[in-house]
Amino acid sequence: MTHPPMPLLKGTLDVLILKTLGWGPSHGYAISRWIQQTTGDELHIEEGALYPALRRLEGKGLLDASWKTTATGREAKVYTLTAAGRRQLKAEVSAWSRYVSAMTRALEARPTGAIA
Amino acid sequence: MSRPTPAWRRYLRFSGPDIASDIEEELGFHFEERIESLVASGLSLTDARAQATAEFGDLGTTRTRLQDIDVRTHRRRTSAERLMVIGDEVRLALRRLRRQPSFTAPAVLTLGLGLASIAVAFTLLQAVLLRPLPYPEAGQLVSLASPMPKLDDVWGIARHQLPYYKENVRAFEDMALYQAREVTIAGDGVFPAERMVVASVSASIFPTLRIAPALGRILRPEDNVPRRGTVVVLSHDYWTRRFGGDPQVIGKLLAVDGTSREIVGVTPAGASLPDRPVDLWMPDYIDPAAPPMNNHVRSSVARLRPGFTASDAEAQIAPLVVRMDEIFPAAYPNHWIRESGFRTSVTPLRDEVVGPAVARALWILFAAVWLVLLVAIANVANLVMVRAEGQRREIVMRTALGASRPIMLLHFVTEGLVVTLLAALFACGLASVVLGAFPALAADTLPRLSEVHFGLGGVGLILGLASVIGVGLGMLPMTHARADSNALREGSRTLTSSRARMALRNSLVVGQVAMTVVLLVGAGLLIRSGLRLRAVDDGFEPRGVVTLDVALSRAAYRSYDAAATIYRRLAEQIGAAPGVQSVGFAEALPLSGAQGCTGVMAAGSGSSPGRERCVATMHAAPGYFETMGIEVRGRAPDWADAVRHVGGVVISPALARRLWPDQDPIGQQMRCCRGGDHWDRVVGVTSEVHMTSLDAPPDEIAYFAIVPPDSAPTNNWPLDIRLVIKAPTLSAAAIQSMVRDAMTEIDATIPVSQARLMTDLVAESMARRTFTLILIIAAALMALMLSAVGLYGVIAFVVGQREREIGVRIAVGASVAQIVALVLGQSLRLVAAGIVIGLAGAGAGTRVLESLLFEVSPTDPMVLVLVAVSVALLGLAASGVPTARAVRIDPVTALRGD
Repeated sequence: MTHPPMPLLKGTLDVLILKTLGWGPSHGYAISRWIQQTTGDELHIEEGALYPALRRLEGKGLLDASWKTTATGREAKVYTLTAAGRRQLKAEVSAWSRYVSAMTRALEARPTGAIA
Repeated sequence: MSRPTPAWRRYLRFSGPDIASDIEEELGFHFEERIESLVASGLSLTDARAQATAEFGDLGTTRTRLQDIDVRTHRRRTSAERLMVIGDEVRLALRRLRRQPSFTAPAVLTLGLGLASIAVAFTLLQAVLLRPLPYPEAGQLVSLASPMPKLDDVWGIARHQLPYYKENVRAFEDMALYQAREVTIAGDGVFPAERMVVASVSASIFPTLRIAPALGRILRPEDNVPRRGTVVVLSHDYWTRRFGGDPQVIGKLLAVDGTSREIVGVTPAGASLPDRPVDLWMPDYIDPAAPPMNNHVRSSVARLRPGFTASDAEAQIAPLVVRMDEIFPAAYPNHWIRESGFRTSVTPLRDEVVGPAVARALWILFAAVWLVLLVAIANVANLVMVRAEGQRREIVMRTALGASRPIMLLHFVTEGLVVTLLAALFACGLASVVLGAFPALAADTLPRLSEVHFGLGGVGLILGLASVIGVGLGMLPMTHARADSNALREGSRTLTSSRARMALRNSLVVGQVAMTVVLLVGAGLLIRSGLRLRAVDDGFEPRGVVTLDVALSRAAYRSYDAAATIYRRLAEQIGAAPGVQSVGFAEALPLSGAQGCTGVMAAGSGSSPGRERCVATMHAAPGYFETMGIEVRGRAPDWADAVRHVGGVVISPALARRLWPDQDPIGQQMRCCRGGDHWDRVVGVTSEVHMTSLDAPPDEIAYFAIVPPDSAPTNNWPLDIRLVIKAPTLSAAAIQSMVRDAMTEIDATIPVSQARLMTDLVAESMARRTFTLILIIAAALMALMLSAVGLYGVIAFVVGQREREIGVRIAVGASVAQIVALVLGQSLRLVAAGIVIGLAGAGAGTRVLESLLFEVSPTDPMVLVLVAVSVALLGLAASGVPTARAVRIDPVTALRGD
């Protein structure tokens, strides 16, 4: 049984971008592919939303952008994580983990006493 | 399917990003990669395209969003970059300027002086002239007066004019009468008896000036009814000083001139009459039932309805005045209104308070400081040009290396702005120090000066001017940069600097010499007026004379004899003290300003009552003329005359000339004031005495004996009198305590004022003129100094430039005299041109000074010659050092060159 893809929670895309770039500099297309593959088609990401998000992160000083020539000899805009971006990534990852574990605990808990 | 990016696109980006194509490029890359990979996985090209587009979402929206974001980012970034570039330029300019103090220091000081003088003059103008009076909507307030061209005099307003105008002049919202006078407040054990200034007013003064009570109530119209309103309103100042700000003061009684008055209210702090501060407010008695009298002595202020001007009001009043002969026949018999040319003038209150002479002097000062600033700018422009000469090759070099014109402009404009803003800083400091000192140094010299302070307006003016001048100075070196492209090709040193530049520098010098001449001529004329004025024989000898005011109460001293007795006792007691040479009394002192006046007439003259010219009249006690050093031909009444009630008048020569043009006035009969056939005899004629001021002609004065002849039934015995004591060896304080002691012994209820030196009073009467004179002279001297510096700079530079030429001349045998003639000749030509232009300008410009001058023509030859000679001498002096240097030039060194 397959689920329809879930809409993205606000702020999620930013974390995913930061995470992607955590592996190393990358251009927009590669980032979109990586997110699409790792989230296993569970999340529905409109690729069009990716580029404004990149700009936003660049504006916050979390990313640097520069034009580089790819292996195929084409000119591509390549994004790199800045030091601030790296710190942000760390903070976001730990926040997400805490959020997820809290939600999981809550959703899997059994009643321990009379609630009514 | 790939499309290789053209390499030039990358370089293009240096000249600024191409936002739209960058976005197309990034998104294009995305699509190409995606389609390529989908095709690789087996899809047809058409399907691959469709799927890639679907995955991407709304392409159009994304594109516009990116465009918006990028444009905004770009804008932010470039302005930040620009700021950084400017910051660098400022730092560099500061460093360069620090390394060249011989340019920076004179430039900053010169401009700073110029800017500071502008700020000082502007602040004075603003505080004294332009700032509204301290009343709500003060622009609507006007002052009324009664000029009478045919009598060559200006009177105040009469009581009956108040209801008449209030009812009939539509332009007036309200109108009021007032009069300030001094009263005696009785002592109360803690406070001694004191003299206070009271405003005797119509109740309408409070709504007119919009003064609300701070405590209790203000005066009401019914208080103005005679014998009803024995009330008084305290000023905030007096309330705090005498009653410690006690709110319980309402309802208490205060003895004013021997009458008990109920305190009904307190006015707020700062509430005062337009022209002077007051301690108390009391109702003037304005009885509508009383017969109108030709007694125009009150001041009047009115508030215009919104939308009306002073001239509207004047136009509405004019037909009312014409009818006054018919409406008030008792007051104006024999068509007096028409005969005297009587009318009512309406002027904005502020103009009246400041006075036209002060306004004019301040505007002239303001114009003068602009000339000073222009001289300063010419100076600095010259310095900049000389400096640019040194930088010329650098400019050409940098231009050749590709520095664009805007970049060079930025460089110079930044430098110019840094110099002028440093000057502005210096000017702000200087102006605030100078203005801070004014209230203490010159409090009484200008009206409203005590409230002057260096504020935002002054700072703004300095900064604004500094910015404009800075940009202008920055563009100056660039004006010639283009013509310089061939300078590189020239030899190592050009023999003569480019003709155009030299001409500009020369005209700057000529211009500043000319402006200095204008200022000096103005200052010279004012100084000469001042000297003339001091040379005026004031008709009395103020040195060694001390004066105090003594005031008797009418309730306690009910006759001429009673008053005279007190004065005589006081005179005898003080006159007997060691060190006192003589003692006298009079109701008014010379140079103390207009004191009010009365019509007098000579026996047998045909003039009818009310048509006489107004004359200063007063009672003078024996000893007055002797103490004041006023010479009397004939005699002055003595104490024996006072006892015998024989009267006797002493008159001034001006009055004698008018009343008895061809006869000896002594022995003639004359009469003052009202009163049938009662004549007094002229017994003496004084030397010429100036009552109002030295620059007015000598006044017509009649001094009546302290006790009039029995035949003159007046009841106007002198109660408020100036005591004058000649005692050159005693201090004012010693005399004061002596008089206090004597007074305590005679009658302790009589208040005695501060003792003042007569010489101080004389100086005060000249203070206004002196103060503006000093300011204008200061401006002129500053201009003189600045233009000397400018001249020196140019001549020194010229000698430096022509060093080689002069060396050649010396080498081929030119004598010292020839070299001196060469250098001085050049500088004197400039100075001479400046003087000629300046004198022509002064001829046109000093007409505005005419009303401030005293017995000096605006084209006074002595001043013009003196200014021309001194500027020429200064020119010589400024050229002295460079000339000496020229003479000492060593031909060998000069010719070796580089």
